[in-house]
Amino acid sequence: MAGARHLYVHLPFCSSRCGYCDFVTVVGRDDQHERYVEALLQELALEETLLDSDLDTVYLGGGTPTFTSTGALVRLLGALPAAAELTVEANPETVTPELAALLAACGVDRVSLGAQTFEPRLLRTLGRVAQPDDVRRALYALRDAGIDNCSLDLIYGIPGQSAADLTRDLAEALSLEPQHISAYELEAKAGTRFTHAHGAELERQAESLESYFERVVETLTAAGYRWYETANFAGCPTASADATCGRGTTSASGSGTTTSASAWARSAQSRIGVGVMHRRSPATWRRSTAVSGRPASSRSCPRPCATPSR
Amino acid sequence: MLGLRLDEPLPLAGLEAALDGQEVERLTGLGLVIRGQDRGRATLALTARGRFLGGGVTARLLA
Repeated sequence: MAGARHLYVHLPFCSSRCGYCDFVTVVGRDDQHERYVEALLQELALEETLLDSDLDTVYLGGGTPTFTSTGALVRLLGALPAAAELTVEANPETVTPELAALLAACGVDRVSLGAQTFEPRLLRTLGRVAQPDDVRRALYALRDAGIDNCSLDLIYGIPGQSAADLTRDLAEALSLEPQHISAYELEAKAGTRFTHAHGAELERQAESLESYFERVVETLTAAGYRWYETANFAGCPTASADATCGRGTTSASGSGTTTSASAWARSAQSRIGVGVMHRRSPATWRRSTAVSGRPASSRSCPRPCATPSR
Repeated sequence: MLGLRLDEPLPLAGLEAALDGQEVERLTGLGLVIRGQDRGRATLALTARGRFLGGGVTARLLA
């Protein structure tokens, strides 16, 4: 059997927890970064035989991978198997020129930035740390460092969001000419603080989601992006660099688009660090790796980019 | 079945048992999914209209 050609690595650490987020994240355990990466590397060694020798993509998701301590992150990046495309998720406020240069030096050639919205009051509602200017600064820093292949994440259906807000978000995103845009509807989980705080408004937003979704698709496809996956749009039509839209292409469709999620959705893949994605704490997961020589879970949690919601 | 989220047709080899044939017919009739062939193999894809209802369509397709 051919080995997996796509590898997902989970780094759960964040500076704060966004109210709507239901991924496994860990706040305030800065002392665990090094030990967690050590456990990841042990798991990677155990899983090595499951991987193809010629990987298409490696994707570091979180959490906020770029919040991981620099030493631990560099150590992990240096130990990962080579791949045609190496993506790191980042929160905009964590991306400094120094970090961008470091990522580039470590072989990162694609960064997925969680912008979510460009409206400050909606960012506050989501509990995001970054401000709109942080997104722009991050993108410029990454490009200055030679990482031209960037993706922006947007969320719609945010409590208090209007159709005009969404239109402005899409326009802002397009003005930055990212190679890829993900646009997800907000999926608030029942029983969370976020749902308690915004229940009525979430119900109102739910009535608008269909029209918002149509607006997203209409706007981005009209701008030349390819709607290759329900919530994902690839291929910046106006980027000036000759190969930026196609660099590290993993799509079988060969349309000059960078479609990691596409490759993920159709392909065998391996994941490390997913013990924590099954609601196990990092500490418990580390113990399971150390004691049994193998983490309790490995390849069953789909997470190409974010939670499929439709 | 995650592959149905893509704009490329999903090869059905190995998936037939997971699909409700009657629902495939019904949803095809409603213009939400489209069946095709790729190098002699049966495929299924959401139509543009079906992609706006992708989650619900996929749930109904499952046997």
